[in-house]
Amino acid sequence: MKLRSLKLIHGSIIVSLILMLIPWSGWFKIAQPYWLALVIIYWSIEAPRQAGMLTAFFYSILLDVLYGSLFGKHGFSMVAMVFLISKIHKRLKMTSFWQLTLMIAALLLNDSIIRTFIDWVSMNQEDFSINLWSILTSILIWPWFKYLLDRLNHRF
Amino acid sequence: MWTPKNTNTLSQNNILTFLFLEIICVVLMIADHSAHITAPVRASISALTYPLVKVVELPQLAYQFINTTVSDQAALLNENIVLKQKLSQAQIDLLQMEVVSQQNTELRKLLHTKQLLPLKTTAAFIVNVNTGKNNHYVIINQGFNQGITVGQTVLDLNGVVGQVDNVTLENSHVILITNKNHAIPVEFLRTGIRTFIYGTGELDNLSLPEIPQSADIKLGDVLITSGYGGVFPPGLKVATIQKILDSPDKSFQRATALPSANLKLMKQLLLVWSLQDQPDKKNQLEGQSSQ
Repeated sequence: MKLRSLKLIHGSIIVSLILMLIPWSGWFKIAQPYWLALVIIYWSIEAPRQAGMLTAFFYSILLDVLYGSLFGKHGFSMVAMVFLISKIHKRLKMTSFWQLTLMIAALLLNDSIIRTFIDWVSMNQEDFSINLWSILTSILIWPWFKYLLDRLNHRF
Repeated sequence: MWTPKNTNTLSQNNILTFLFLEIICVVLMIADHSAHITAPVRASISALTYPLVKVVELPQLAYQFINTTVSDQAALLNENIVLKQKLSQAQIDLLQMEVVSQQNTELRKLLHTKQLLPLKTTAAFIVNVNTGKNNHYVIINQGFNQGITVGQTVLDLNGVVGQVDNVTLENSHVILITNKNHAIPVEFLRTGIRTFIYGTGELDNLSLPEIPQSADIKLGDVLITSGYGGVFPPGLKVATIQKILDSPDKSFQRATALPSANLKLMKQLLLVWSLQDQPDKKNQLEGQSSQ
């Protein structure tokens, strides 16, 4: 039982990494949902012991290598996000669907702010603009995403 | 895999794990400012990510395969004829070029200037493209194993595309000249005035904020790499002037330029080898890395 769910956890995270790598162009690239964060949020709420900060750290570092971004950038924001979830995950499990969605929007916004801040510090960029499109699409996709993962999770 | 054994200590360890991981991330980010430290780490981690990149490439390869097998013979024959025509035209041009380059070397000898070295290039294909607002880069299918090094110049058939920024085992990360954090030393082909071109974050726009007020510039002026700074070899076409503006305090002229390289529709790129790192030195490079 446990081994199977571990397989599902890591399998779904790897699929999300592949989704993140799909070469979109133009607007689609900008509005691409942050798949990895969605999967990691889901598992850190549903299975906090199997998928904790170390998992988040490990896969975010992989994402940094795949994207060629500053080493540890995604790791930093993702670990912070999972830490926040671990503080409130019991409450998150109990809240209504809409509240949960709002909470996730807030978490993703926070994550995006951290990453933009890191970019801002490390690259001396003058403008501090956050990609809100990506957060919006992530939130729109979240319900279906959760439904799908719930189905998979309960089947195994 | 990452399961903490004891459930009671989980909540206590939370903050410690959090702080520990965040400190690791900060250390990594600081270390990443010098490529020497993190390049080997990236290269070794990229061995893990290699299958993922292959999976993403798969549909692309399948499409190419189907395209070549399905496309009918008539189309291929047609293409063949067109290519032959192009080739003969290119050969004629080459004949003329030979005469011109001969004249050029003679003139250079007269002027006692150093020779432009012929460029050695290898072809690479684009695996992934990111042209988001702040960060313009592409990922190509050649990496550490092919001897690619950080700082190598990348061209397409029309001009300079960018330079290699990060190298992983089988892929490299090429920062485009339009990236907001990219600058390239150039000179005007017509007048020889030197300046810098900065990326703007738009694929069809480069900015030149520091042209001397006295310089004579015109619309359509061609900019080539000056070779200063030692990263880009001299004499490569970079951009053409699109618009000339005055800076608010009139201390410099400003201009915007259109990149010569077709940054929106590129598939195949050329990697330039400087004389120090030829591909045949690949084994030596690998030997250094394993130490």
